[in-house]
Amino acid sequence: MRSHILNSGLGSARRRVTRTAMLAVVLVGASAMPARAHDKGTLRLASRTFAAGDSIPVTGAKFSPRDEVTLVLVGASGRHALVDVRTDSVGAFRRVVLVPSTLTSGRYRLIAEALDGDEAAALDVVVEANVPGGAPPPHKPINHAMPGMEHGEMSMPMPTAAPVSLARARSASVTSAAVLLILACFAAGTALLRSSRHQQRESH
Amino acid sequence: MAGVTSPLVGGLGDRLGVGGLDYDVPARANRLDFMLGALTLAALVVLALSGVVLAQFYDPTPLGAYASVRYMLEKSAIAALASGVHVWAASAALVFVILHLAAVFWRRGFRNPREGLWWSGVVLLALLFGLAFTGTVLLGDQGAVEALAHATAGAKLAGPLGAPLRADFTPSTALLSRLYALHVSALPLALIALLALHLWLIRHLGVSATGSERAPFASHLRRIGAVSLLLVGIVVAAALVWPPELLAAGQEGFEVTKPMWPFLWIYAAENLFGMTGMLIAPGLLFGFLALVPVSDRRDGLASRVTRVVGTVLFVLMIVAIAYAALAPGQSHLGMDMGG
Repeated sequence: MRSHILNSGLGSARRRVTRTAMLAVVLVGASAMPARAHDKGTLRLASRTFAAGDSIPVTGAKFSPRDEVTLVLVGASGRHALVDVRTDSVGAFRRVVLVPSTLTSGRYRLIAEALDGDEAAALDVVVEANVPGGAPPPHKPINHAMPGMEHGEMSMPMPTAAPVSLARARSASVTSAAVLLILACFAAGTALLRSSRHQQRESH
Repeated sequence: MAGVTSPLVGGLGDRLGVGGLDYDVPARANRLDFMLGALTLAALVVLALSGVVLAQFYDPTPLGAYASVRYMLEKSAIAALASGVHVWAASAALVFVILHLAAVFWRRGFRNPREGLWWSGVVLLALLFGLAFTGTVLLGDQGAVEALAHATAGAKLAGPLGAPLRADFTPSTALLSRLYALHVSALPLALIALLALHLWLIRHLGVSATGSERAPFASHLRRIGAVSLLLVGIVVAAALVWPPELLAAGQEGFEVTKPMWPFLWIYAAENLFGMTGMLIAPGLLFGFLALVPVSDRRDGLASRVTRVVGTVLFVLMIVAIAYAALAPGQSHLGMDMGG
């Protein structure tokens, strides 16, 4: 009986050691696994086709907030780092990027590279040949999706000086309070003006 | 009732030093052209109060900024009203400060011993332009992005003086966030300090109005209160009737907008002289304003020349604003002009 108790005590101690060892292995393994230090984002371009030497607006979203990514063009001619951008508090950025004028025409992949070299977002693009001395090609998209864009991807409208149409916030209570304030200001102002004139006359 | 309130009011008046306001001022000081500075101050108070409301809704991050401004205008009636009041009060403050400067210049209110008053006023004017610029940039719309692009280009031309406007001045913080900090803390603090000096100098040196006829300061104060209240009423009414506009979210690399009206004279100078115009025009204006108390110390040729030059500059500024408002847009940074 005593030996049985002893054996069962030894057995439970052995099981505890085994469980602890397994837990340690799992924890060590988990810590050794590469943690994903950044989020996968999305890139948006006004057009997937542009010319070497062009300035193209690039918009990024859903990246890690306040993170740094490098925009890179990768093609048959090699890897061309374009610019380092910093995302804002919601993990977005907007940047106009100059495409190197020395790029040869062809298919490229625009990659947003995280600091650890991981591909955080990518788009397939086409670079057209630069015409030396020629006028830069016009920006193509104006308020419509461009051919070759993925489903749900929106084009960036060309900026204008025209104000946007706003669905303005209205509230009867705020408007009433504002009207009351206006009336009170006019009434008090007029009363003060009269009393000032009266006081000046009296002082004479 | 009067017997009950008088000791209370009197006691409070004694403790608050209200008796210090019991003095006479020239009766001419009750004219509207002597109240332009007070009207500027009233507009600044409205700006501060509406700004406090706006700060509860604003997100000072490069992309969050535009969304938060749009949220204010589309989702919150009180923020939309505060936004309109802020914009109209800013225009009112700039109109009144320019008119105040012109009126003081015309009546030579900068002469001995009021040079300090003039110079503090000139710096106040520069601070108001700084507040208007940073306020424009905070919108995050196309006009804001272009204003910032112009400012950073100007900062490059200005050398080390323009360093704070460079994106890499403090790489850990976005330029927009730093401009927000300037707009809500550094510039208002400087403004308050200079206003305190300006008001103290007015109290110490007296109003520059001439004439032997006197009026109690209390009547002057009432009149200032009256016109200030009327101004507040007009500003709130304007905000209700003409709410502020907003352009689409800003995209870098384009020049399709013109600046807010107080900066149109600088825009006109850029049309004529290129990017250096944005440094030449303000440099010329503020350089002249700084020299006025030195060049016009007493009647004579120098005094007449100063008056002519000042008048020409003032007229030129008005003409330049009108020209820039009507002329077709121009690219100053070699960017895409759209369309």
